[in-house]
Formats: sequence, C-alpha cells, structure tokens
Amino acid sequence: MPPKNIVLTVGSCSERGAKAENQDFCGWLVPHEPLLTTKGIAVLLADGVSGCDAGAEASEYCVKGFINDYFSTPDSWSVRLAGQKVLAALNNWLFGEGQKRALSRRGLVTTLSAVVFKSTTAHLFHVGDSRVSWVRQGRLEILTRAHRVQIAPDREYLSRALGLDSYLEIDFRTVPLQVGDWFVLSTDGVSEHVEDNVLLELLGSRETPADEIARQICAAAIANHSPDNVTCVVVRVDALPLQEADEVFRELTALPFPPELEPGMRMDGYTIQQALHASSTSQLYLAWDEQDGRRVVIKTPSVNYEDDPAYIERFHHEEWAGKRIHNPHVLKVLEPGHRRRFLYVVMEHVEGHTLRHWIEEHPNPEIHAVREILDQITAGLRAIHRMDMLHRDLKPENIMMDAKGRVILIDLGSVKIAGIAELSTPVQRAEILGTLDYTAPEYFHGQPGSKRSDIYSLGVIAYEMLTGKTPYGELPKGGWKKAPNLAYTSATLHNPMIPLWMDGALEKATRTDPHRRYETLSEFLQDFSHPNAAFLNQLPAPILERNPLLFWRFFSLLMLFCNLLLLFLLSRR
Amino acid sequence: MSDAIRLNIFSFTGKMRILHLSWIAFFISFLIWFNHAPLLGAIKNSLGMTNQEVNTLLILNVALTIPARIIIGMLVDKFGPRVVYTALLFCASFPCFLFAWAESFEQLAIARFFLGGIGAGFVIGIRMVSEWFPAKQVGVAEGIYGGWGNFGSAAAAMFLPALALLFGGDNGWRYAIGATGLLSLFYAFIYYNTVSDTPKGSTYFKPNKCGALEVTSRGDFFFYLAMKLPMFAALALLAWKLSPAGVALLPAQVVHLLYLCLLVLYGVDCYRSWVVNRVNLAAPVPEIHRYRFKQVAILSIAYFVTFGSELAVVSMLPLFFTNTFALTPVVAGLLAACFPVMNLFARPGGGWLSDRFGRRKTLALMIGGLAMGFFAMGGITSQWPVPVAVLVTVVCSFFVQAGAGAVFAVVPLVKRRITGQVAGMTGAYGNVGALSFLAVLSFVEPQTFFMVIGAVALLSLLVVQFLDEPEGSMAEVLPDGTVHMIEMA
Repeated sequence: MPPKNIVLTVGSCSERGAKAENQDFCGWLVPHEPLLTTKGIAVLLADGVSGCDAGAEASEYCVKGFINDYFSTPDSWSVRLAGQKVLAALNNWLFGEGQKRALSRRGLVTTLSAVVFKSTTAHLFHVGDSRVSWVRQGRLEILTRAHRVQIAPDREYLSRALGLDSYLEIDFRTVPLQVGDWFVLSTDGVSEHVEDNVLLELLGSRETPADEIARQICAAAIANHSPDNVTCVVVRVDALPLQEADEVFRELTALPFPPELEPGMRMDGYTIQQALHASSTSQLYLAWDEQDGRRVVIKTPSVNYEDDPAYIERFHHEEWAGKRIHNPHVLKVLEPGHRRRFLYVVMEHVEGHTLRHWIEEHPNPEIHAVREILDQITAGLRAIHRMDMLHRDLKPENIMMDAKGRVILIDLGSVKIAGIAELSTPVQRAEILGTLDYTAPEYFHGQPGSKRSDIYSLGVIAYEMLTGKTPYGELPKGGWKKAPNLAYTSATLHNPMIPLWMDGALEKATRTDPHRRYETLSEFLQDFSHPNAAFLNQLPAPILERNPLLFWRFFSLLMLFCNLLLLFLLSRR
Repeated sequence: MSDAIRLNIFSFTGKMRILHLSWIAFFISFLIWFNHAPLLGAIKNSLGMTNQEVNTLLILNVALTIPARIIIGMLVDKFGPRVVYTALLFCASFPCFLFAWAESFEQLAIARFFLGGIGAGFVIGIRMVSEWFPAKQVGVAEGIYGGWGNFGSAAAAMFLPALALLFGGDNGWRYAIGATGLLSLFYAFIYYNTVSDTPKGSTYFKPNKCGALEVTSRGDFFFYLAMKLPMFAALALLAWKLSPAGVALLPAQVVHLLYLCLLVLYGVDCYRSWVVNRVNLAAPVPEIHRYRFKQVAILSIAYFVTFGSELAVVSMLPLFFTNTFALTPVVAGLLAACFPVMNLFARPGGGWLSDRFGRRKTLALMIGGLAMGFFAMGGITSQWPVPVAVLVTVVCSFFVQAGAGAVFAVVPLVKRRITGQVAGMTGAYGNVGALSFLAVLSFVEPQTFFMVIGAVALLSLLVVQFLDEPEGSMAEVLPDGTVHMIEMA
C-alpha cells in the first residue's frame, strides 16, 4: 500500500559558529490530515541580520509566525496566495516593531527561505541571502538568488529582507518533485563556505541520518573558517502521494448516486417534498430535515454522469466550496446531520426567483435597481474570490432573488478552488464549464481563467439587465473559438437611457482581452456607479464603430446602386 | 413548480415544444424515406421496371444511410442539431423531386440512393432531446421521438396511395412524392426558426468525441475492427448488386473501383480507430472507464435483426400485400401500415418491459417472438383470409419494435460516457440488417425472405444469451418510502 500523502525526511543543524550569538533560526511542521493534504509541509530557515540588535528575535519570530499563520489560512487558498499574505503580514509587523524601537540601529530584519511541499510540488518563497539548493540524481541546482548589493569589493549589503521596508518583494517559484530529491536550505554562513561537491558527497551517503548530514555540513563550513552562524536544513523526499487512478476513482464513486426521488420518499433523514427543477445535469428537490424540521434543498447528480469522474469531482467541490464561504449573498451549503449514503448536496432553501425571471419582468429597468442588484452580486462574488476561488459559471439563471430583495449566487458547481487545483490528480478536469454567452473568451482559447474572467461574466449580466441583450449578440455554437473577432455593440444602441460613461464601464468589463479588462471588482463597480472622465471625453463613436454591420451593408448597397446607375448610363449611349 | 418535472405531452412550451418539433422533423424524414414503398406498384407500371429493378431500388434506399449516419453524427457535433436537421430536410427535398420526375430506372436509382441519406436523421433528434430533457425523462422523450417519428413510414403507407389517387392518372404517384418533398422543404424553414440547440442559459459542454468508438482492451480493439467488417461488406454487396452480375446499372470497371474504395475506406476507418484508441491500448485503462465491447456487439446484432427487419419489411410490405391478395394499392397501403403503426407504443413498451423484467430476458423474449412471427408470415399465401394475415403481421411487428426498444433500453447502460458512440454503432447495424435482408429479398420469394429473417433471428437469439445483465447498485424504496441500497452482483 503506497502512502497516500507526501513523506519527507528532515534534518537540521544550527550552530553559533565563529560568532558570539546564534541569530539563525530554522523550523518545520508536518501537520496532521487534513492540513497535510490541503496545506502541505512547511520548512523554513531565517537568518537574523547580524547588524541589528534583535536579529535573533526577528528570525525566530519569522519562522514561528509563518508556521502558525500559514496553516491557519483558508484551505481553499493556493500556497502562493497563503504565503504572500502571511509574509506581507510578518513584514509589516517586523518593520513597524523595528521603527518603534528607537534605540535599535536597524530594527528587526531577517532573511527568509521557506519551502512548502504540497502534493507533488515544492513551492519556494525567498527573500534575502540564504540559499535553497536542489539535488536530483547527483546534480545540484541553486534555486534562489542572493538579494545583495555590492558597493565596494569588500562591502555588501542586503538589498531585500523581511522588516527592511514596508514594501516587500518576494521571489516565488515552484519545482515538481520526484522521490529521492534533496532540498538544502542554508544560511550564508554555510552556503558560502561549503563547496557543491562536498555537499553532494555528504548527501550521497544513504545510511547517515538526516540530522547527522546537516551536522556534517555545518561542521564542514566551520572547518572552512566560516565567520558567521552556520545553519542548514536538509530535506529528502521519501514518498509522494501516488495517485493511483483506480483508487482515486473508487474514492470519488464511493457514494452512489441517489435514485429518482418522489415526494414522500425518505433518504438519510430527509423527507422529499417536491421536485423543484431537473435538467440534463442535476435534479433539485425541496425536502425537510426530520430532525429539526428545517426546509432544505437537495441537489442530486444526474445519472447521465455516473461514470464521469470530473463531474463527480466537481460535485464534491461544490459542497466543499459552499461550506467555506459565509456570505449572505452566496447560497449556504449545509452539513448533512445524518450519515450519508448517497451523493448529494444539502443547501439552504431560498424562496424567490432567478435573475433571468427578473430580467424578463423588467424589460426597462431603473438604472438604480440594476446597480443595487449588481452591488449584491459583487458582494457575493468578492466573498468567493477572497477564498481564492473562481465561480466560472455566473449567469442570470444562477442568481436568485428572495422576497426581501436579497440577491444570492446559487450554483457553485463549476467553481475552481486554487488550493485544490494544486493537488495532483488523474482526473481530467475540463476548463470550459460555463455557459456560452457568459463565459469569458480566454476559456475558449484554452487559457486558464482568472478573476477577470468572472468580471467578464458580471459585465455581460449587467449589460443584459440594462438592455435585455448580450454585448456580442448570439455566439455561434463553438463560442469564441469560432468567432474570435466579434465586436462590442454599444449598450446605448439598445437602451438610449444608458449614460455613455456607464456604457464605457460595460465595454471595459467585457473586453475580449482579459488584460484590458478591469482588474478588480471594485474598479468596475466604481466606474459603473460614477462617471469616469476617461469615458466621457470620448467623442460619440462614428457609425462605423457603433454598428459596423449596418455601415458596411449601407455602403455595399450604395456601391451596388452606383454600379447600376453606371451600367444604366453606359448602356444608354 | 413540480410541473417542471412532469412530462405533459399536450404542452407546447419549453422542452416539450422542442420534442414535438423534433419528432415532426423525424416523422417527415421517415415519410420521405419510405414514400416509394406504397407506390411501388404504380411506379413499376409507369416506368416498366422488372422485379429485380424494384428490389434494387429498395436496397439503394438503405445503402447511403450507413455512411451518412457517421457523417451526420460528426456534423451534429460541429454545427449542432438545429442546423443539421434543417440542412438534411432541405437537401432531401431535391432528390425527392428528382425521384418524382424521373423518366428512367437510372434516374430513380440515383434519386433513391441520395434519399438514403435522410435515414440518418434519427441521431440528430436524439442529440437534441438529450440536451433538453433530464435523465429521468430522456428515455420516455426519446421513445416518443423515435416512436412517433417512425410512424412517418406508416403515414406514408396510409396516405400516399390515396393522395396519388386524388391527383389521379398515371402520374398521381409523382405528385404524391413531390408533395412530400415540398413538405420537407417547407418544414426545414419552420424547424430552423423555432428551435434552439440548448435550453437558454444551459451550461456549455465540449462536444462528444466524434468518430471512432473507444474500446478499453486490446482484445476488444480487434473485436471492434472485426465488427466493422459487415458494414463494408454490406456496401460491397450493394456494389455487386449494381454490377453486370446483378442489374447491370454500373459497368464492371466502376464496380471494381468501388470495391477498391471500400477496401481503402475500411483501412482508413481502422486507422482512425487506432488513433482514437492509441492511448487506451498502450496502458491499462482505469477501472471506472472500462467496459466490455462484447455488449456493444451483441446489441448491434440484436438491432440488426429487429430494426433491420423492420426497415426491410416496411419497404416491401405494401407491394407484397398488393401482389398476394390482389388488393388495390390504397387498401394494401392501409393494411401494410399496421406494421409500422405499432411503433406508437411497441417501441416504448419494449423499453418499459426491459426496465421492469430484466434486460437479457426481455430482449430474448422479443427476438424469440419475432422469429416465430416471421415464420408465421412466411406461411402467408393467397389462400389466407386477409384479416388473419394482418393479425399475424401486427403480432410480428409488435415483437420487432418492442425488440428494438429493448435494445435501446440497454444502450445507455453499456457505458454512459460513450452512449452516443454505442448508439451510433448499434444504429448502423440496423441499416446493415435492412440492406442484407433486402438483398436476400432480391434473390428469393417474399415467403422465403420472411423465413430467412426468422432463421437469422434464431441465431441472434443464441448470441443474446451472452449479454451480461448491466451491473451496478440499485436503490430500493421501502414501503414507508425510505430509500435503501441493494448491491447487485
């Protein structure tokens, strides 16, 4: 039975060396499940800058702080996002604290090299002049760069370190892992005084315990007259989560699909009241919980996908994501109170209608009403984005409005969770999951989506609320792949009440190139609610831009007419 | 709100509208496909054709369907059902007019050959229905689509002779057939303007992998290649039929060229199958994706005899009744219509029986009944009272269509992911069956033809015994309404 998760051997050694005080600090944490899967193993090494009084304090604070905070970040976050956030917070504290201590010369400053081993990938965060080396099959590669500036042949300064400035730049990179790989994290006291071939030789002996190897490396540095503290951490990859396809699929299909449910049927402590909706992908039932009498909605998968692992995985993700987002504008997914014997998702029951219904009922909506709905959708979407997730299937059908006017995003069935996307899997995940008219063009060109892709969908929805149409008209069946050059039709053509600046915001939100779109939801909302001068200064667009089809039709007709006239005139003679 | 779940046949909104519009499209395509059958007597007389030539027309009618199904399947993946159905109905009207205005056997033959393409319309609507209906209803919806659409051939048998008589004269049949062409042309525009490919706001899905079927073991791959052979063999048989050895419609050189083309096509087809399955053959396929090709092969053979015999019999029955009992074409057409008319409920009924009483048992029972039915039909002579002959026909047709329904009740259970491809292969075998049986008819008397179908049915009854009952866990509902699991071995 292969281990189900990553297994590392870690050894370390930290000695004061030639100095009076050891200002280096290293540490690692192998958490229990489920953190081991969702967050991985963190290995860190920090070198408190020797020039400061509190170097030792800074390096220790940094390593302990990272381990504490990193494992407390939401499990939907990617390693990169979690690391960035944690390091930014640590940097702020160090910098602020350093400023406060007026007596200190340079405050609390430390280098930091952190490696997070998650699934089959190593994620590196690096700032300062420590070093991370990577050894695979006897070949050594240095993964980090020393952030130093040399101002004289014998005078060098750290150019980047934690606590040096309120602004922090962190190097980040990922390395795919193989069993047998070595990673060596070392402070400059070691890395500059141990030759690569010595290091390779020491790592080469199979029987030596890891701690002993680390000790030998430090000893080699001291023997080589290292003037600094000597610290190193060695990490060997012993096993990787071996994703046996059969096993993964067996786990996914462990819960069978429920049968077609009829009113009055009881399943796992829920009594079915009525069927609400059925499509070719899923069914929704209204049910009540026999324990507490709560009304809930149960979503069951469609048998059409009984043998589609990607679909089943998405079904699990929907529940996983829904349980982690707590926002009044995102539908709550409930924990089933009973042992579950079938695959389904239990959700809060919202009475109301969809935004599609609203659009049909309000062909000429008040602009402020549209803005209010958009505000609420944005609030829900922001909660999703904050969890490092992408919705990927925003459309009026997936947005509900209850009797009190609360707007709720209901379907997380296509959600992409960054923290889970990092886990290696034999399941082939599809990239396009949205709906033709609302899916951002980049998906059709095989690019992974971003928050801007959700902003595109939001822009299309806003456009549709105001005009009843979509900005690019009816897309062909193949979507953007078939029609890459569609032009935006100004919303003012469909609804002359729309101010030009608002049309400008819609246009920018729905641009086909994601890089030319709004970067954040708030920017779009701001431009949608307040006139942006950039959009106002434009002259009214010429007809060629506003409606190219009409222009060319008219032009062709004119030419035809001229030709006929010419023919007529010529034939008279 | 629960109306969303119920299937109301009398509704004409939402998905039901799509279903109605689609079965009418299929109905018209079947009407055209078999518009010649009830008029064969008149056509034969007015152009002075031999029996041999009449039989050739029947075979030609089902020949192009076999390759057309594959091409149509790919086009649907690419352009969507709406455009493809429209195009098919539109294009079919032209050979229909050509057929109506033909002055010689050659022109009739060419027109019929091209009209064979419209027999591939079935797959388009199936795709449409599966996009619009939830899993629970898709079986019933496809039953309605297929059954009511197939009724088109019954409608042809019932009304076209009368219509021909109404126009009157020797050329009455021409106007009747021309009218079906006009109907098709007209409906093409209606269909285009009234349906859409997916429900508004439905999720975009990558089209299914088109082309060759995926198999999941090395042995199955060769099995698959072998199962392809009969399709090409059937077309080769047709080519031979057209050669100087048969009706001499084509010169020997052209026929040899056709043989060569078929051989090359088979090679290309095998290569494409290899490309699709390359990955699967190199490394073992995960268990969740595995299935046994044997199941597909058995279903194909069962469909060969069920749907194959239906298509063959529908083509020849009106003429058979006219000749055997010396009836007028109108009466013969009406009587012959009782064969396809059973489609209205026999086909869905077969699916229902299969759901209820077990897949293999139902299928075996239906094919057994079908064999008996054809043996009985083989005994029909001019001495039989007409009502008895009709009764035997009706009983036989029940088994034929219920059998076809029972086959398609198993098709989605072979492997959900590739249901479309399995259905394509099985469906193609239905056409191979029709072509083979009609080829037999061209050599023998109708009575012997029925006997041959009966004998083939008995053989396939043997094959069906090897069908594995689709496995899986099934949920059971206890008397108090609690849903329970029962594991099935």
